[in-house]
Amino acid sequence: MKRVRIAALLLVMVLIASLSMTVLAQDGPGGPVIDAIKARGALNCGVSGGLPGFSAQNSDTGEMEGLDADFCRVVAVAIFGQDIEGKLNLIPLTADVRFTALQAGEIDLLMRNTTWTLTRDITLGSHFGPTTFYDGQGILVRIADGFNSLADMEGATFCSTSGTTTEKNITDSYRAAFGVDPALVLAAGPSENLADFEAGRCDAITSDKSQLAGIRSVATDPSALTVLPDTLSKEPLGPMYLSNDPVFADIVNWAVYATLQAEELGISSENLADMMSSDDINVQRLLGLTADNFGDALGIPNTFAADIIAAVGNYGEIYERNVEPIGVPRDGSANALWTAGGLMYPPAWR
Amino acid sequence: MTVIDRGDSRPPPITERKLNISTPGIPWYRDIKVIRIVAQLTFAIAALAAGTYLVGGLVSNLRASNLSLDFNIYRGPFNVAINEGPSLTEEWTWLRETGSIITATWIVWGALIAALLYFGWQQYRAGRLGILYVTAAAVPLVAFLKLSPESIGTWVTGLGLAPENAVIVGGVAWVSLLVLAVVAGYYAYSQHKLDLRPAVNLLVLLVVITLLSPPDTVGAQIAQTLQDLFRGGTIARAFATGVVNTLVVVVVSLIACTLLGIFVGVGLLSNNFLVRSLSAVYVEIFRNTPLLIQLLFIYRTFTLLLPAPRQSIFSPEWLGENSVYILNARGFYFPALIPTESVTWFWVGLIAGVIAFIALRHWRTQLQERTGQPAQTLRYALLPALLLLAAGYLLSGTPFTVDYPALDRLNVVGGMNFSIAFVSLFIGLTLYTAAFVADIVRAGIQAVPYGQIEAARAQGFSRGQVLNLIVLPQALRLIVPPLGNQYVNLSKNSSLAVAVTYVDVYRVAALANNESGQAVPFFVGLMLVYLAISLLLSLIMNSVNNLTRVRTR
Repeated sequence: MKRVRIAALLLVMVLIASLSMTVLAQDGPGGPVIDAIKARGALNCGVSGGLPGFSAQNSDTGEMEGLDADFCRVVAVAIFGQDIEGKLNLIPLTADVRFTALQAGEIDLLMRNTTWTLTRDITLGSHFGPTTFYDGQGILVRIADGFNSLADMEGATFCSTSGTTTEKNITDSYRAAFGVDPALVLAAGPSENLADFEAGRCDAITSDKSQLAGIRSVATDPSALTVLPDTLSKEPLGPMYLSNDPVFADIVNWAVYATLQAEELGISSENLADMMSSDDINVQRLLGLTADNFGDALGIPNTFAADIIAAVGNYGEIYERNVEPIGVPRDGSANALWTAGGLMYPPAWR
Repeated sequence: MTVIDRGDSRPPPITERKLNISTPGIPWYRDIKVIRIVAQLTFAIAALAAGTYLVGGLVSNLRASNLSLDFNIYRGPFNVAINEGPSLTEEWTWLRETGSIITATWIVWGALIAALLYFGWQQYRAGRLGILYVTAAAVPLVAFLKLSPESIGTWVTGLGLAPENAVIVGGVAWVSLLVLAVVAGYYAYSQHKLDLRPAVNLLVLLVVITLLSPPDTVGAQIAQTLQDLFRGGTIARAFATGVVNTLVVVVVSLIACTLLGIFVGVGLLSNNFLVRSLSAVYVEIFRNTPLLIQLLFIYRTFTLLLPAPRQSIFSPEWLGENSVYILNARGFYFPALIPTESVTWFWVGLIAGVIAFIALRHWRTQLQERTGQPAQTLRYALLPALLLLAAGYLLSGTPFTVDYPALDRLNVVGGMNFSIAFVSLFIGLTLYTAAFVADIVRAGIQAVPYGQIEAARAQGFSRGQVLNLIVLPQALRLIVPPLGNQYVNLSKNSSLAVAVTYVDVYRVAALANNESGQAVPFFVGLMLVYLAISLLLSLIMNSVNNLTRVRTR
């Protein structure tokens, strides 16, 4: 008799489960990801959490600061408006687990200095958004060792963070230069790399140049270290999201473009109030003052760009606040606006 | 049917019983037999439905996240250099050479068959008949699995038959093997009152190995596939490298932790205050702190204490002109023996020596048991074995050359090296597990009644003899089952290699996952690897347990 009850219980559970799985139809633009975010009332954004300049906890305030963390805020503001208190969860992830977390739906958006590669784009079931930071892989060495470029480094051992594109790039570059595999020491993160490097386990650390700047700044003696001029790879870093929700993808893309467009038009968080009364039709379009109602088509406030500028700032402000302090200048780099000779180029806002 | 009463007390034949679902006199809906069947059916259907629903949901969820269970992903490229263990750039020539794979599987297969036959013969001499049937079933069965009509036919052709007839004869012979196996298997089964467990264990092992090893004719094809699989940096090859690395550290740590554990376990019961307290302190410290912290501690201690390569510690000069060892923060370097072309004779001499030693020792021990004459194993067995070894060495001229490590521009090159990662993991796993083993050994020894030790002492046994002849043999059967658990723990703990940058199978799987984004096949692969290691260890320990347990009737 006990078995009968268990069987009945199982059947009832199956029925309830199948009913609850039924997707309720919804009005307006939407998709599985954006609907889940709105139902939850919060955006889950995956970040590194231990990388100065991109996402690292401020030891005084406890806030997550950095370029990646700020772009998480940009997207959250676009969806929820200026007040995102409690509506954004910044989730620290290691390089190893970040894609699994995205695929499993643990996070909605990955903003973890992730390189845009063909393999990742086509095999992970995800898409990349606009590049928020153009980086390149470099090599950090001791000046005393006398290396001038990778060509001098035959037989050297490299420390690298496991689960990134850097270990592949150094393998490729080294093979191309010397015909054999390099010796790698793969550790969990930048701080472990530095500890191994300082103990003499490797002759060099290889990583994105922006990261190397951060690592060098916290080394025991930064003046004894230098980043070689070699750039081993292109590392366009940007947001990554699942490919099953084009509406959410558009929101992320245009939220990022809004920061660039604002900088191009000279709108910053400081002069936003003045700009609200501007006669320039381009400014009015961006700030949602025209009847275009771009936001309605995406299911978010029409003033989302103005909200982003007010709450977070334009791209220049974000960069200056986060990346300049770790010693990576913007002027003359690929990260400058296209009008200043860089690669940051927002599509037409109309 | 009428039963003829022969006047004996035989029970009626079984065919007399009828299949009766209903109980007479009770309506069917209150009949417990009917209710039971209905309930069981309902339960089965519900379980099936729930299972289908769950699996279906899982698969569609995977698909929604663009994940799949496609194991072809293992053929994909793997672009990260692995420096630990058999490297990706090194050619696994023995795997690539078709012939050697097949030869290797034939050697393993033949050895197992020989072991089964020897075991069966021994059991037969001990008066156990069941094993005969098991052997009679096993040999044709594995032959059936291993061979094919073509291969048997090929042999028959050698006897002078036309090829087409040979295949027919081969086919008939092949099928008769199966028939023979089934018939013998039935008899073996009907003899199941006898103790068949060891034989059945061996049989299962044999069949599994046979299934894993390529059959004779398709061997070449499988070798070809393996070749593809292992050519150039495929994920499969990297994964295999990771498995080898895991196995190496597990096996080495297993042996070391057993030896250290027994040593400390005996030390825990020592009469010497210093030995006893040092052992106790060691056990308490290592048993009561997390392994991860110990590993990080050992790893960081090594990397901080040992110098960078250019300031390496070299062996002192009185040990020889060449470095006998070099130590630095990257690893421990020792001279390596490089086999020369004439090494074959050395191996022949070595194997012949070992076989001679075992055989002669067996003979002498049996003689001692029969006649009471001292065995004098050393004189009779060791000397001929050493002579054979020396003969092999002399025949081969110089079987080995020595490759000394030396400091190059950036690194130590030459010789063999144990990386700091490997050494840290090995020491960490050994120290941690040995603390548990020591306590198990102590408990096992204490379980031996003290009266026996006193009795042995009274008989004039020395302390060492008491331990070796009286205590340890009895303690062993109490030690073995919990020891197996510790071994399995050790194999699983080896996945903490990630903390000390050792490239084990978990690290490779994580790298491959990161490269391809397909987590599921790699984590299934990982689970299978650890499951296989654990089950293999359990199988070995169960067999040891069977050998050491007290036989009671």
